[in-house]
Amino acid sequence: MSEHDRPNNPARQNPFDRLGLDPSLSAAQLTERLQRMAERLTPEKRDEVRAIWRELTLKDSERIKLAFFAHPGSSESIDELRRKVAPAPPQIAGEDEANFEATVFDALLEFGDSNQPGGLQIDESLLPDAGFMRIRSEGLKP
Amino acid sequence: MKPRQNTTLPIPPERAPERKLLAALRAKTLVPTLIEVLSRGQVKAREDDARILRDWIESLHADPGWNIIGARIEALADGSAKRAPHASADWTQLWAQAVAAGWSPRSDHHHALLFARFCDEALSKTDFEHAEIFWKESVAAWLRVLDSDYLDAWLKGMGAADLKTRRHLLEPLIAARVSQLRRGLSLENAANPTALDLPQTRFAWQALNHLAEQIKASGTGEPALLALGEEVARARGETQADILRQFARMIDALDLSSPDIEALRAPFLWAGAIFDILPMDAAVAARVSDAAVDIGWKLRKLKPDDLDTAMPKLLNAARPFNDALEAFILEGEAFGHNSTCADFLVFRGEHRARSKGRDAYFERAIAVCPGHRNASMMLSYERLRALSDLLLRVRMVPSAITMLPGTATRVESAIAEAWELLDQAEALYPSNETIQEYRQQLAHEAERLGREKSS
Amino acid sequence: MINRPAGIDLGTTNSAIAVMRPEGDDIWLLQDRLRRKTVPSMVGWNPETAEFVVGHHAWNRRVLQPQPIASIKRKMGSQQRVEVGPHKLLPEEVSAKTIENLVVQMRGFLESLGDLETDKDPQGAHRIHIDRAVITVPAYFDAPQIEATRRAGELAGVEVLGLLQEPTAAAMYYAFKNGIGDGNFLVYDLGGGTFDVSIIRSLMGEYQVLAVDGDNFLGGDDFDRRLAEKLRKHLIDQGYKLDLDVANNAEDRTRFTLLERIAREVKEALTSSEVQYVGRRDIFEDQAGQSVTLDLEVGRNEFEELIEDLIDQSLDACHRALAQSKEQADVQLGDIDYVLLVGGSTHVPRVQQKIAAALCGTDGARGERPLIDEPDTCVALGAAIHAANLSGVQWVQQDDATSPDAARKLTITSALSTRSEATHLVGFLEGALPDTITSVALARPNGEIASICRAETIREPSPQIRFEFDAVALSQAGRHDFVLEFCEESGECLASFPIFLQRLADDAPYRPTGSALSNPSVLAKDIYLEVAGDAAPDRFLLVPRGASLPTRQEFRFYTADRSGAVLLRLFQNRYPIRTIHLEIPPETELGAPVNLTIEIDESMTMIANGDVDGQAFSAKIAPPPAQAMRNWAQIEALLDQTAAIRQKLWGLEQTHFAKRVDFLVAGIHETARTDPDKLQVLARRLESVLEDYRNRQTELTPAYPRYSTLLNAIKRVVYRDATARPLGRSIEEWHTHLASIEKDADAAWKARDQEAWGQAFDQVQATWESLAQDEYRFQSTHTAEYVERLYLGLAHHCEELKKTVDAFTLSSNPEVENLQRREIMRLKADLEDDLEEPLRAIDTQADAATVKPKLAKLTETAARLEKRVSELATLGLVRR
Repeated sequence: MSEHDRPNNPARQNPFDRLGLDPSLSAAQLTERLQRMAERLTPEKRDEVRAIWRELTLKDSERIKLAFFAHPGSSESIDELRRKVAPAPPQIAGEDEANFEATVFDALLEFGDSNQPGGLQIDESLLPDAGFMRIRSEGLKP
Repeated sequence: MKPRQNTTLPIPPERAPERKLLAALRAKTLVPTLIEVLSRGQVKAREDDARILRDWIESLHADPGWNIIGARIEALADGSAKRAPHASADWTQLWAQAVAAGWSPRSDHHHALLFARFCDEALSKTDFEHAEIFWKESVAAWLRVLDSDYLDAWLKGMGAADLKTRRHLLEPLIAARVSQLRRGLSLENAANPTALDLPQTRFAWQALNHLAEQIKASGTGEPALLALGEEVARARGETQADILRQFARMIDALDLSSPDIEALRAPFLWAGAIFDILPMDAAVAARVSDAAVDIGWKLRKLKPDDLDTAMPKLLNAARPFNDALEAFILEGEAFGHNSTCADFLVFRGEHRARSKGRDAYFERAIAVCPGHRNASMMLSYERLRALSDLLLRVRMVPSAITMLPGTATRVESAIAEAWELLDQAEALYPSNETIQEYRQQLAHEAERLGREKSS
Repeated sequence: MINRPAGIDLGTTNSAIAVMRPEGDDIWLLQDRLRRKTVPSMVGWNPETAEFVVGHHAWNRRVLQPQPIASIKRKMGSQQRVEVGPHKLLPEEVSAKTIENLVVQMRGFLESLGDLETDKDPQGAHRIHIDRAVITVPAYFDAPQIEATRRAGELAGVEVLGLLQEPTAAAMYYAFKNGIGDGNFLVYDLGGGTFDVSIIRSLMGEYQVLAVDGDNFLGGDDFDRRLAEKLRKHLIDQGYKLDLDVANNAEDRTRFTLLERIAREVKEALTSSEVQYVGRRDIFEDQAGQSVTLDLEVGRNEFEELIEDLIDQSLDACHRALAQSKEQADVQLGDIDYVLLVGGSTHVPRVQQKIAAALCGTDGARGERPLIDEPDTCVALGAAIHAANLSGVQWVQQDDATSPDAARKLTITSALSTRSEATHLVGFLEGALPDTITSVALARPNGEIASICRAETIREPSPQIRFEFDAVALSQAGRHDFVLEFCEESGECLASFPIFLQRLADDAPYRPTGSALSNPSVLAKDIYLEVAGDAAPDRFLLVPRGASLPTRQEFRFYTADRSGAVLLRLFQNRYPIRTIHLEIPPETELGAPVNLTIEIDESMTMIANGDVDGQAFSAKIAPPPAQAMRNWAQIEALLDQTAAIRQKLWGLEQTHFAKRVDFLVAGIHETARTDPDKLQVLARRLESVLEDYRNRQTELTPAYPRYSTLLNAIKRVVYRDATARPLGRSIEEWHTHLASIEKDADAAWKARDQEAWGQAFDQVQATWESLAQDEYRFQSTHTAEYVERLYLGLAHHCEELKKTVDAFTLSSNPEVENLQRREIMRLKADLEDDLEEPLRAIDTQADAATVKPKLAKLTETAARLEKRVSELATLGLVRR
């Protein structure tokens, strides 16, 4: 069996599944998602995303076929879901009037290593395929 | 097309972020277990499976089928139940029960995709046994999905309700099998076009067949499935045409000026292996038989030293095709190939090691091609030979006078038989010079033994 | 300083250059003091100063000797040198001078702008520097032409970031200017020398090219030439001697060029007036030495009549493109939102009218009329947008003391401008960097830290430090300055770069720039490989037109003969672009694998790699060997052949043929006097059309008489004995069967359906052969007579083979011809050794039992030799 046909070859996986895209998205919505994704990537990976974009948006009937063979239901990463959940009210009231806006990454940076037992294990693959941010796990919330 | 269940919305309603997060976490624990169990231990979940299959978990929980397997799965997932190696057998039963209890089309959509993936995994390990199980499960799941109005709602949700899209929608389903078939037959492999991977070919062929049969058996009116059935038929036809083309090329490349029997047999053995798996139709049978007969004639002209061993080997290699051709002709198909088919049978008779049973071949040849000159001639000679044997025995009877009653009867029937044989021989091949001679001999014996020919 | 790439439109008549502002909200277009936005694509020589002159300066010398070179774009890709003063330059060398001039002028222009901003940027950290560019090419350019354009940029000292197709550039600019994020464009680009039509889709500001078509030898120059020809004829009527031979006589060429210049001015004037008076005194001297004066009126109608068919040709290309976009993406004329007119020649009113009539309106595109908006500069402006996308905004810091390699480059790949109150900032740092950088801080000018993120160091393919800030707040509209500080663990800052972000006002226009995902380049023409078909060469499609670039395709073929060589002949549309010739051992097995990989990158560089039987090869698609120029005698022969073929065809075939060649023939007659370059091109095109028809069977085969003979023979055998059962069937069954065959055969013959006719004939032949075998099998084959007959037949076959080999017409391609010669020598030797000699050695009087097998063996040998003869036509070619 050639390289291309190995089931674990990511190129063979349905693009919706592989990139975590909701198969019911329209071509315009897909473009938006992929745009953001592509901006973060190195040129080689960007070529891959570009090829997938063309595959998904060139011809509607082709996109529909691919969508039907993707697992239904959207699949945002746990990480993204976490971001959407409203944060717990801050317990440390106003002592640090730091003027900078904390980003999510800053918060995560503070809380130790993902390999600590009891901490939630976040799979690296749940992240967008960025390659240059390593997220530390969330520890226990204060 | 009757909906099997109530109309289910393909896309579940928006949930609050907390609920979604919870569902995601739940999926994380259940998905690996489910995958392992569903694949009978053959497949391990991938890292992104929990994310991709989150929707499946949600869908399952709302289905009646979950009542059957839910407890077991959850127990396995949190480690409270041990995974028994022989659990596979009773799992099969459990799964069947769950299917009977009912899955929503959305869940089955996931199942169809999952089982297809398991099938691919099994094939990559050349585990055809499991691959077959998974393929069948996948096909069954697809048919369940399409036996509801899920597809209608899905297409509508995608804004693609036109018929053309619908008809072509399922093509990816068979794409992998068709390419597997062609790879197994080396149809795209110009470097080694005669290499055969029979297990792959067989699997692919039977998988396609199974699909086509299931579609037919379901009596569905779903355009996507009907179009798929047509596509399978078309792919089969195309494959057969390509096989014949390759066969022609192989025959063309044979060098008969210095014949090597193994090289001559190779194309026929190749074709034989293939059409052991694929069905042979009249066209194929005719084509291959023609090629064999053609070579047969050329060999006889070339008169190589090993002709007597070479011919039977060649005939043996091509035999299944001629046998099939014979059957087709007798059923009324394959007009115009009677002569060739008969030639083949005559060759077989001629090159048969033992003389007993040779006439059977010539008779078959005549049945297939009445009036076939060569067969007639050969059969005529066979009759004469049988006649000659009889005559030999008859001559040994001393005289009419000394015959015992039993012997007399036997002699009488022998002579009758002899006349019969002579008549047949003459009818078959009147220009046989020895017939007159035999006639005289027989007449002489009949007279000697007082058994004149009464007719 | 900020290194910003430029967009360059290298046009046939005029060129332009533009650079997008780093903020991404506007584009600087080069203008000179006289507010001229384009620069003539002319290069000349000033003998007094012994220097090259370019642009407007060259144009000013257009009536002086030596004549400056114009329209060099038409020669790009050929190896023909042109004289510029004492120099003989390749076309790309000439274009390089134009590019160089543009870049120098642009630098000057930007410096003068920068001088106005010194207060905002005292250290000059944000001064704009240019040394990179995107250069545009017609979408329909061939590989050699594209290569030549890239080389021109490199020769001009510019780093060529990429080559962009002109219609795509125009669409990008139009979308940018009008804030269009979604839509389907049909871009009709009629320049001075080339015509392109592209169908482009914009989806959320990202571009896909759906179809491309065009003609590299159709443009405004052709309009000029037609009008110039009309002027010439008028002058002849006036009594001047002007029987010009433009191809071979330099003075005649000059005369005609001067007429063309006048024609162009008339053409331009007719854009706004219905009638134009042309009065020129003493333009030049005619062939009799008389000074020529022109004095006539030209009406717009007359001019339009002259160019009508050229416009029609361009509209045909539009329809072809629409067919392609329908197939690729289900986009038809009714789905087109904007029809854009680009290129100077679209000013001509008739062009606009015809396009509107053909493409807009009730059955046409969604727009009411075609749009024409900055047609002369939109390509350069679009190229600037694309250049900006390719490179991101790049800040460069250079210590003067150290070498240029020690410079540090900061590239921001996310947009600098946004309308929202927060934006993301993504980029990377390259150059001489310490290993210890662990974080990146975004600081405001007052020192306050707006955000921190982790630095990620990557080593492949080159060392970079990457960073991403998820949300940088920009509180109000306007420019926000920051400093990016690259720090190590301790917090000490090891490198810093001042940058700026911009928040646009809420009502600022949407500026789609098609960044990350756009595929602005596609392959315009199919690339084929010539392969061995059954009797003649065939074409196998390797990369289809419309394939988005970059692309990489792998193929496997196998050898089809034992000639000892493999010829990989690559074609683009019909023209050969590269032949790769490999010698392989003659014992190489038939069917040895030949692997071929074709790679085409975004800037359309084509590379072919592969191996045969272990022997590797690699070839860049360079310009093909200089095509032999045809003289008029050869072209006339071509025209004769065309007429001959046309005669042999009939019905639909003839109509098709006429459609393909009529305009080529007309063009040949016309350009014979006026345009030698185009003449060669048209002759080449005609020849390739004829090639298709030469090989084609114009009659059905096999011939009808042969069919009748066989059918009659069958009937004779079958009906002679009422009681017989030939092939096991009764007479009645034969009757029915034959009647059905005859019906099919006659129908196929009448309908000229080769396939059906072939099938019917095959059936008849198969039936005859079955019967014949029965018939002849029992003829005595033991007689000396029979042996004699066999022998004679074989001897005859041998003679026939020898004759065929001797009479074989060798290929016109020199490499194939060599192979064929070699094989013919071998064939002749083998015919002699393996067939003729053994045949002569046979004693036909000897015992039949020994002779017959020998003859049978020689028959097989003859069959194999015959096969080799039939392979001569496809020698060296591989099989799929």
